[in-house]
Amino acid sequence: MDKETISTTFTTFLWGVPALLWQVLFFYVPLIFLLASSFIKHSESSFEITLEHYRLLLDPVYLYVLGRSLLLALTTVTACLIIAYPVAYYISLRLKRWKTLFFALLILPFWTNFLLLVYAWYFLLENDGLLNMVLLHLGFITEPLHMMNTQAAVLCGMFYCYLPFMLLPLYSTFERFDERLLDASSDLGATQWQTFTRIMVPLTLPGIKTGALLVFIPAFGEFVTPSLLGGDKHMYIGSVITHYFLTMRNVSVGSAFTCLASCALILILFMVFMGHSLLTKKEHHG
Amino acid sequence: MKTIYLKDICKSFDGDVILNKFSLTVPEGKFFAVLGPSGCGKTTVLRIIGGFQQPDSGTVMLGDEDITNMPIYKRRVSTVFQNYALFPHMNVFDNVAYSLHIKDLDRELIKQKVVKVLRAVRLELHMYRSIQQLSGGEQQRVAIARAIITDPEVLLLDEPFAALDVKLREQMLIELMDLQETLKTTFVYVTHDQVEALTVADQMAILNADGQIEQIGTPQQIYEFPASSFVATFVGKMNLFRGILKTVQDDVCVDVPDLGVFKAYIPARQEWMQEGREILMGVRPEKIWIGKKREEQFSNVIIGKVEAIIYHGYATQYGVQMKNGMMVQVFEQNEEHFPKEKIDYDDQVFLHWQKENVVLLER
Repeated sequence: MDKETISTTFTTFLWGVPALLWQVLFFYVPLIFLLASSFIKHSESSFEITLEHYRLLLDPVYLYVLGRSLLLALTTVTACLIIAYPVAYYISLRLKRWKTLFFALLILPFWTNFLLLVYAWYFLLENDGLLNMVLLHLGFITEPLHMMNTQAAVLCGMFYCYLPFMLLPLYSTFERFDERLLDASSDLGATQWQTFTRIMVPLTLPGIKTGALLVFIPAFGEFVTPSLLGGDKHMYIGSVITHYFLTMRNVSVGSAFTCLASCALILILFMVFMGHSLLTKKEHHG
Repeated sequence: MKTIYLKDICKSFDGDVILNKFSLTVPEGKFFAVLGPSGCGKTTVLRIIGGFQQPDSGTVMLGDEDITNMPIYKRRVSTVFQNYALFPHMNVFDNVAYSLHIKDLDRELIKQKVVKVLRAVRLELHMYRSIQQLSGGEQQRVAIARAIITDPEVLLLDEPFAALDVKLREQMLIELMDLQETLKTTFVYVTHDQVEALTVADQMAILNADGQIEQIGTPQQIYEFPASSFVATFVGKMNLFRGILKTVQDDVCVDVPDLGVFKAYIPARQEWMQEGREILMGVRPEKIWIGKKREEQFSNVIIGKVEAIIYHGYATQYGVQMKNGMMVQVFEQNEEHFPKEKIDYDDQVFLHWQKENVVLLER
């Protein structure tokens, strides 16, 4: 490295200092606190390092919670993908004139507070809510449907709240997609399905991946939607953590569970990543 | 190779009529060029043959088969796209092999075919390169290889060399002509570049801005005997004089007001060529002889003043002003290092041409 590069590197580093400080102060330090408190048991008289909090979590009920959260996150990702993919395709490639307007209209609801969005679903789905009222008036049903506090209600809310996180990356991928490749593919004898699987999906895969990650990670630890729309019948990761920290005031077990959930998330992402790179490697050799 | 028949094709977009009762026959096994200004609908013609667009009415026939409503993937027609449209996530081999992979052919067979086609476009050494690593000319070759491997009846080319520089374009045009000669496939080549069209075509059609065919013929027929003033000025340069058709002592003549009476020769008399009719007389710039002295062996002569000299190297272009203000363009080959006679600005010059080199056009 010559003098000039060293000084450029140093200047670049200086620009990064505020962000670095912020990250250290408000992310890494709390993370260390969290990690430490999950291993430390202390009362007025004693202070010891223990695995006791983790032992508590060996109860299969917590495994259930992890599994249920995973399932919810995966279903949310799938639902968002199935709906967002054709919508993003249609808006970005088929609509010529009103493209920006339609996209803005689609994103507009999410300028509203997240909590309000979930509450809107609450008022829509509750027993004397809007949906039941309309259905009763129209005579489709004779007594109110029980929609609140069900898994379906949770999924509805989750799907609705996380849709833009899938829509945005897909939309920007489709914006860069060269439509003429579809023409070229059919010209070479491919059916529409073959064109879809061999050209469109591989070329929009980066958008799919980004969208899936953006939805999956927050959905996995989601707390607001399941507790508002799902009631307290089914526990999710988010609700367990809140339960320990806010209701039980048991910081140690709460920390332990948070660490466990994070590890699970990292493990899952790692497995997905490895699986994908193995798959692509196979293709290259084949 | 099969003949393409387009019959009474109509096509409009958002109320804009692009093609109205458009009919064209592309003879089998020929290199056919469609030449027209930008936005004349020539690409639409190609896209209708390819099946990318449906005509509002009319029929498309390939040989004796009506393919108007046949889906793209079933048509035995291949396209070389203007922007190449190569699949960016595949390497050269997979791009070329795409149509064969789709049919699930045997891998060995696919490899043999791909290698053969890549050899034909001289890309066999780049087989496993990614598309991004190729130059523009190489990408174009991949696009051609990918299109001809399907063994199509017709190959459609939509301004395929528009993005290449002049030298490379010339080379690619020659390669393309060789390829057509080997394959004997019907090639339909759409372009707005007259040089390209004149170079490659066995036959060509000239479209005007309204998407109507002005003339069909060999490049020589089009250039030497344009059927309309549009063709005359769109293909090459043409000096057009407004005049009145006359007969003087058994000679066909054109009386151009203020400039004089010029002799003309008509190989085949058209119905509109009536005595006393207002017409256009066209003379190509390279068919005019320019000199400071009057030469007697030419049928026509006119005096003018040199207003512009543009030196091209192999030729010099002169802009000569007539006494009525009209500018006449003249090309002269620069045949010698030391020309006997130097023509300069404001020189008075004589322009001469033979009556056989005149075209008469309807006005």
